[in-house]
Amino acid sequence: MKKERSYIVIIAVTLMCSFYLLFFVYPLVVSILGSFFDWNPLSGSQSFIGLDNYSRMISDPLFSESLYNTFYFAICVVIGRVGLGLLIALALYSIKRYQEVLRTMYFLPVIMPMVSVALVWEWMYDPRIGLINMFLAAFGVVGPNWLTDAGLAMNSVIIMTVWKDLGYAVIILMAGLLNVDNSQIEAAQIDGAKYWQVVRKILIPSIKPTLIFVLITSVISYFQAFTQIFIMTEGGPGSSTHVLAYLIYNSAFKNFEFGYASALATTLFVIIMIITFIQFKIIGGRDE
Amino acid sequence: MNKKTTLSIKLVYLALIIGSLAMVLPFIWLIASTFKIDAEIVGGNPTFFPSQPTIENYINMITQFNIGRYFFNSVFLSTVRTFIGVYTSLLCGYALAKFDFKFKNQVYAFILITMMVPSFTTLIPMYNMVNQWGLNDSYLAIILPTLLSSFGIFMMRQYMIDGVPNELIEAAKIDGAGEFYIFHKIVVPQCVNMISALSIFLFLWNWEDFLWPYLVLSSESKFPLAVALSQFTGQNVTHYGQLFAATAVTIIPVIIVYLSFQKRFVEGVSMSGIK
Amino acid sequence: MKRLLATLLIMVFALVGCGANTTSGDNVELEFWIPGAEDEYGFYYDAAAKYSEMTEGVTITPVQQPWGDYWTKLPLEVNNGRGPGIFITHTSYGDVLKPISAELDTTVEELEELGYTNTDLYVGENGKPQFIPALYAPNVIYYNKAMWDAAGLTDADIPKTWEELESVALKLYDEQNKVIGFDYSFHVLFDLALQDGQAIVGEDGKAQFYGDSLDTITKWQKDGVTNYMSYGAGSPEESFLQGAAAMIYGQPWMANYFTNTMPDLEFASFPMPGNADSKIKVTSQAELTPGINKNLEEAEMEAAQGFLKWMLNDEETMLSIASGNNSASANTNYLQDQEYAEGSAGSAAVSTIEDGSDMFLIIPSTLESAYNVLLESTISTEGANKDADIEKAKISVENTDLSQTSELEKRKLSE
Repeated sequence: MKKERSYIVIIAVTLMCSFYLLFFVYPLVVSILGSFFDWNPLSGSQSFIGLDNYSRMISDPLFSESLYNTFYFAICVVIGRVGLGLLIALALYSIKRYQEVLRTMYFLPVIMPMVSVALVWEWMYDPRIGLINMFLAAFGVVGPNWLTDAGLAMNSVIIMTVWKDLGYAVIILMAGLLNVDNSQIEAAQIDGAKYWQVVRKILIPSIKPTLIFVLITSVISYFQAFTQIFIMTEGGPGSSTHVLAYLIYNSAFKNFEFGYASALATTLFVIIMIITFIQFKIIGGRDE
Repeated sequence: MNKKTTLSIKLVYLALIIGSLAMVLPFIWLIASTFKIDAEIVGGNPTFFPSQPTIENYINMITQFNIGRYFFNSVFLSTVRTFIGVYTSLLCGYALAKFDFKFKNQVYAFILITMMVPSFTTLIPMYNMVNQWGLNDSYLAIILPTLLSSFGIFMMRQYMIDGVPNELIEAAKIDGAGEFYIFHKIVVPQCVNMISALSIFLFLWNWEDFLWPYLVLSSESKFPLAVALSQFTGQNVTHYGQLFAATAVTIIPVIIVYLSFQKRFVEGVSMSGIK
Repeated sequence: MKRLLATLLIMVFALVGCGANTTSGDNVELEFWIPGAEDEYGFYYDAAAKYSEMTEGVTITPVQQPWGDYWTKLPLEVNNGRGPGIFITHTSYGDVLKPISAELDTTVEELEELGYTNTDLYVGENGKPQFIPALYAPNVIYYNKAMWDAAGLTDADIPKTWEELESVALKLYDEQNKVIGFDYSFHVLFDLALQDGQAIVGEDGKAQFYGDSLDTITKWQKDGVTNYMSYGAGSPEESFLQGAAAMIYGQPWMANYFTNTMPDLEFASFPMPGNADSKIKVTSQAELTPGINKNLEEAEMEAAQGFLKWMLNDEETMLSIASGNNSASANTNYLQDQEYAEGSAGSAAVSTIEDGSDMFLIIPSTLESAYNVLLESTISTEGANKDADIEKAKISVENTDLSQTSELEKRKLSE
């Protein structure tokens, strides 16, 4: 590689710089600045109010509940997705026949549009016409109100999200497993290692980078979960499924409080940055 | 093999099969339900398969709702955005992988950071910007923000560093080939697997893209499928049969594409995980 | 490759270019945004077609919008200098609609003379109304005719009081087939409160709550352990369709929904019961007349005002709007001519309106959800925190944010 005049570089760099300035840096700056303003797109008002949006946010019970719900949602889905995904990947790895067919089936929900899947699950959860309670009724069990019971709604959305995204973890982890050197496993088996010892000592350590990749990408995306909540519960019942992304949408496009919504959006940004930083620290610390 | 392992293998199969059924049953139920009349869907005795199969829902959907138009819009938008996204990813990835220029590493690091910024943080200013430019209710507003894909650039750059041999490029240069010729005829063909993987990703993301088109578009005739689905739920009344049928229309093409290219899907996803 | 790219680009620009609502030549074209399909809002589609037909140089084109984001897009579009000429309005969105709507070319008094009621609810800066109630839709009770007959009930058994309704519900309750006697939603709490003489908003302008109506529902839940009275899954209309409830508390529009979804279902309606000695007061939703975009140019504004004026004076159109909603016309003159089949939801609505004093009792949506939580924590299964939950819910009712509710609405709710 050497420095040379290249049109490709000029085009690529111009493209990248202008694109990211326009669709990334500028909106980010406006969002952060906007959080210090009373900004209403309907009245057109935009007046500087300092930290008022933030102090309102801190005292807003809806914010604290959304924050809690966001963490709860992200943690549960990540654990469910990676944990179950690992189990299924290991199970698929251990069988010889029908591996591909089964893998195909597990991956199917991943590629489906979230809007459609959320709608399908909304009907599945319907207490009367839904597939789930229909199934439970066959065993004489009266199913609960999955989405309209405030204590249950969040968990129902979590189950649906894990179901949808599970396959992605399965495929990635399986790819990692298939890359593991077979001779290592055979040697261990000759030494009389049990199946779970092989899993613990050889398989999991060798797919660790893949596991970490899935964890990081999962955490970032689940902190922004929106579509399934928008479609299935609209944050309800009450505020039981309000998450930060939904609160931002609602403040901006239902209450037309762009300033307050910007404060929330900036907060979400900071939270995700901190979490990513911590994750990299932990991984970095372990690898070295 | 002893008896115990045979039994546990059988249990593993059983668990896997039950799990995989749980993955596909909702879709089968959905498609079966599209052939039911509304009274059967909301009626007192829910069924799994239609008791009197009817294609009325599909007919209503075509005659009363512009489903063909929405479908075309979705195909059009997803194709254009995917095509542009893949091409720019190749171009920028190539520049970052095979050339040296000032601030190259900073640019690359910056692109990695953009992947971590939540889209909700930039949503409101972007919405405002599109309005100021008079671009709302136009497809440009939807296409512009996906001209470049950070993920795509990252993926292509990672692959090209080792996947495209420098000797190949050097040899072509010695033969006097122009740099665009080298890019299009030598570099791009080397990346076919990556291109198909990235195309699949981008296409699926664009196909399911919901919130941004939902906010930006206001003419019903411009809606893509994902947005149009919201049309079926009114203030008070939901036409379940038609909504089921419309939902089926959004997923059936995906299922067909997936089943025909499933090897590529699996490869693509696997590649994204292993660096 | 290049040809493909060029084709794609041309397609992009072709698609970007089309759209928008403008005036061409002498003909004024106005978009009329309607958040629903023709089968639900047929009367407005008809009105637009009829007016365009009879008026030279004016074309009003209904444009269907999804209900979900209608209330987001409409104000933003109008504020950005675009949007439709005329649009459907709604009482729940008064605060969003008022700043974007023009005032009608008439006065509160003129409209009252025409026979309209509550014409001063949405008045603009110049003191003229922006939109007025077109119809009132008081809540009614639906019953399943087959179940009614099977229980040996006749028209004479139609309950006038809540006690009578309870005893009818007990007769309709069918344990074997799991049919609930009466399924209701939390909205009934408002009716009970009103009939108990409770003002929903106190003199201080804050929401208030006494325990009486809650006690009634608690009693229903207790007496109805066998489920002859039940707070179902929050959707009585669904259980009615499924034959899982013999009577339900419902709104007039549901009659259309039942007929469309299940043509075989035989049902009828009667007005809301009351307490034996008090005047029957029922919460009632109003549908408003369409609004006009305040940013219209002169010719467009003239056309839009003309359309609204024609509509308000056209008895046939106003009655078809009211009847399309199975509701009572908000114009007392037209109301006298309104005809419904006996036992229909519309006739129950009309007789409620004719018996009632003031029928404009809209419950702010913020208060609705607070009441919902209150009702749910009251009737939920016994838990250790139950009493604390009820207290918490009562406090949240009292702390409900009513800043979006107009003074006038508050005044009505405090009577």
